[in-house]
Amino acid sequence: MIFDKKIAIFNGHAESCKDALRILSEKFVEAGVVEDNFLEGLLKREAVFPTGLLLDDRDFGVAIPHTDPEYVRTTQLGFMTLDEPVTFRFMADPETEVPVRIIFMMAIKEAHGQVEMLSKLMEIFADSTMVDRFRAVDNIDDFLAIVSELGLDQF
Amino acid sequence: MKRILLCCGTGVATSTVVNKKLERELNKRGYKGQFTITQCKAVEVPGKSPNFDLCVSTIANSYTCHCPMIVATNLILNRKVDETYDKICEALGFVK
Repeated sequence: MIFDKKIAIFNGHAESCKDALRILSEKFVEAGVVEDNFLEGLLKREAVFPTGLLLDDRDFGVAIPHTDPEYVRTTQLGFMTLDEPVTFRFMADPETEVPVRIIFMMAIKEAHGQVEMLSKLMEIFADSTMVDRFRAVDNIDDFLAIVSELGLDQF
Repeated sequence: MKRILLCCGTGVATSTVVNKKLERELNKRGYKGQFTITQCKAVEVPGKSPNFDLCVSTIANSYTCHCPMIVATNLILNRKVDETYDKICEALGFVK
């Protein structure tokens, strides 16, 4: 299951986008699901093609940092909410800043094998109620309950 | 047959999501069998784009593109989707 390593940080603190990527990616390395240079891959990608997403009707955004499959051993997702937003750049326009409070970090191994999971995940961002629930969740049990409610536990 | 090149940063995440949505919508609009969608990484766009009619990108793509390009991050977020699909259809010459 994409969250079975339970990589999740609730109301964590980060000084910057880079800091947040470092903190969350370390959990992936500890779990053994990515290569040791996973962070390098994330930063490289983020610098060229940022992954911040602006949300309608909310004063914060989400980010979906990910990188090439060569940095990944096993597909796994990680989640982090932030006590204070950090600045990512907007995927559609790097000139635009996105104050990010929710991060779904993705380690994806198979190029096209995760269509349904990714579609479901992206649907969250179009649903303000769901965004608010992820924003508010503060423990792993409640988090996994929402994940299962969304059917994301079948992947 | 119209050839659509679909790109994102790594070719694994957002373009995969949009691929499915775009195919479904174009079929719904009655263009089934009249298009193909090929997924790629942004870095491959300069090399591949000469052979395509339209490039749909989920990211701001600074690489040289040799065919018309539409940035469609909206489709990930389900925002202003009709407007974006209209633009894509227009660019493909799929006019009602």
